Amino acid sequence: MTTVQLPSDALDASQSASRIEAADSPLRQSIQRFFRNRLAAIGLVFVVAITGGGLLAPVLATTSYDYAILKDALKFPPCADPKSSLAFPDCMFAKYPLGTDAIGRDFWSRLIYGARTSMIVGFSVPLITLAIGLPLGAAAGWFGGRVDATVLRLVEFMTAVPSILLALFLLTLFGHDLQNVIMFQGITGWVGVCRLGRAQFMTLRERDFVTAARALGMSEWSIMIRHVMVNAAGPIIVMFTLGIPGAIFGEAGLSFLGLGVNDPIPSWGKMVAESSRFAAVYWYLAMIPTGCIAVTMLAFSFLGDGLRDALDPQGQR
Amino acid sequence: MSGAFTRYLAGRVFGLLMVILALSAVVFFLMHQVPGGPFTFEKQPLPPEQMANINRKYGLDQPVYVQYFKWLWAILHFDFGIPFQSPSETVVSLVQRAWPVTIIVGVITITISYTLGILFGITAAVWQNSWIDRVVTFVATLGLTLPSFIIGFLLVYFLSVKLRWLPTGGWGKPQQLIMPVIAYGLGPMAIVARYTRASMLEVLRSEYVRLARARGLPWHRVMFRYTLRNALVPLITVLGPSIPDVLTGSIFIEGMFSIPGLGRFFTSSAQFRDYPMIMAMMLLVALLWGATYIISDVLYGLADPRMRVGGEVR
Repeated sequence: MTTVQLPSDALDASQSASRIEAADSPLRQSIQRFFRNRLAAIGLVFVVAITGGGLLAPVLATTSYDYAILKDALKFPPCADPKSSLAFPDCMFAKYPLGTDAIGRDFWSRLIYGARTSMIVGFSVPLITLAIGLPLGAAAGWFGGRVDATVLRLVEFMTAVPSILLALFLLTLFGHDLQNVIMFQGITGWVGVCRLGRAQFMTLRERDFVTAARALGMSEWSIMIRHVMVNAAGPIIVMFTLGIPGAIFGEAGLSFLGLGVNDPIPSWGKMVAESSRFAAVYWYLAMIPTGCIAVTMLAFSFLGDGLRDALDPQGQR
Repeated sequence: MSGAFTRYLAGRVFGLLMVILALSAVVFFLMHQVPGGPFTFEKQPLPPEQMANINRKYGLDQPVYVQYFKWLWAILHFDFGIPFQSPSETVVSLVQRAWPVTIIVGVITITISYTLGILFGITAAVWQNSWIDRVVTFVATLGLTLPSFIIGFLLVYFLSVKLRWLPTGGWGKPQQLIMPVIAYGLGPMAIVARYTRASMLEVLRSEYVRLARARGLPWHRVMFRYTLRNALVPLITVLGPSIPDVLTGSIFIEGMFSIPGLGRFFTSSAQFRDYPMIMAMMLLVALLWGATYIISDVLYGLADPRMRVGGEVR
């Protein structure tokens, strides 16, 4: 691994300020690089759409996601039931744009609120991992020595068992709901962030601008926050972005197993599991949430990859 | 050299054992700390006398630390106890029954996905930016991002429900293996293909390959002697960690295709509060992972002389 070089390195090198004036600012260069990558831009569009859908769920949903009308169960969207088109002559589109699920809940509303669930999990889990992993990693990389050894022991301990299994174990023991899914995924998944933070702080500690800042009499804390953190921001943002699909994947998988979010809160993974029993006839009920998970995962991965390329031009893929 | 190596290896193994010891203690105390127990039933609770009896039988009436040390002592004698979810056998016989199934699926998956992944990666790198490269990159992206249960569901829907080519699941016939292996192997294959491609490209751009070409060495010689050998070494660190993952079985794949392997015991053991089984599974997973890390580090050291440092191998 080569040391990661960031475009923002230019920020600290004031002696090259005159050279930068001619070119664009590093930030603008990064933005340009990002949008030149078509997949990343498409990913961003989808991410905005899905996040927006989750945020605006109360507006976009046609009815409430948990209101079940049993006699309307398994209605096919546009006008009729898939088995006999004559059975339901009255058009259901306005009421149920995507039909209903097995117990007569509006599928569209559940899908939209499912996006909200995914987004809540997707953004909170990486935040928790960041809150745990970054301070630990930063301390290990910056102070080295005994602190580093202790953190490394902890990391070794956490990697002895795959994090998803650990989360699964904790969820079955302590009970599962949205809050626990987020919490346990967070406290089992911080190792990656910790390693990254450690590596970043370790390499940046040796850089000339840190020595210079220290020579100027800056306190250790301000160096860490104002110089090192700023320079480590790029890879950490990328890690955060790529952590989002991971968390969504985890939640969908756990809910698919019946160990994730509880009814009536909708979750795409749970919707796939519930609907796959009827897949022979009501194939769209399982296929739509399947597609939603796939699109979300792809969008966030493309966005993350694009961000990495944009923020880290020298980095190797 | 060899003395340093032995010391290094002994240190790593000792470290692994310490980690497993600590982990087992934490898991043991954690699972006993949660309210309720393996024999607390919500619907029809056992009368207190029976409860006391059954707890005494399994030693659950003793303080947790006494239970832990008893468990530890038994483990050292290869006695893993009796699984509460299937009391007519021992944990060892249950694992002996279920694990081979998982291992068969796992070994087939690893063999096929790694071979294909490496081949695809090499092809994509050699013909960089061609349509082959694009297809490989696209499939690799799908394999990396799509959860295995999604791939599994799509396979079942199209190949079993629509086309009726393959059985939806089960165990015993070779055609029942096809879908699980695809659903399971696409992820590892994608990772391997991606890394092989990146690593190949790096070596192909290197100076010594350029020099070999400039000297007019035949293409196949440049490829096999110079490029492949150097490009495939870094893969050890990528291939290694995905092996234990596959060998311990996937809850998703085994559940979805009703394969009687080890995977489902990850959830059922925790659900039944099956303490002996939880501990056994934990030991199995931790040992496999730890051993794989050590082996891949050692192999890396053997394959790449630069990494052969007496003490620390990264």
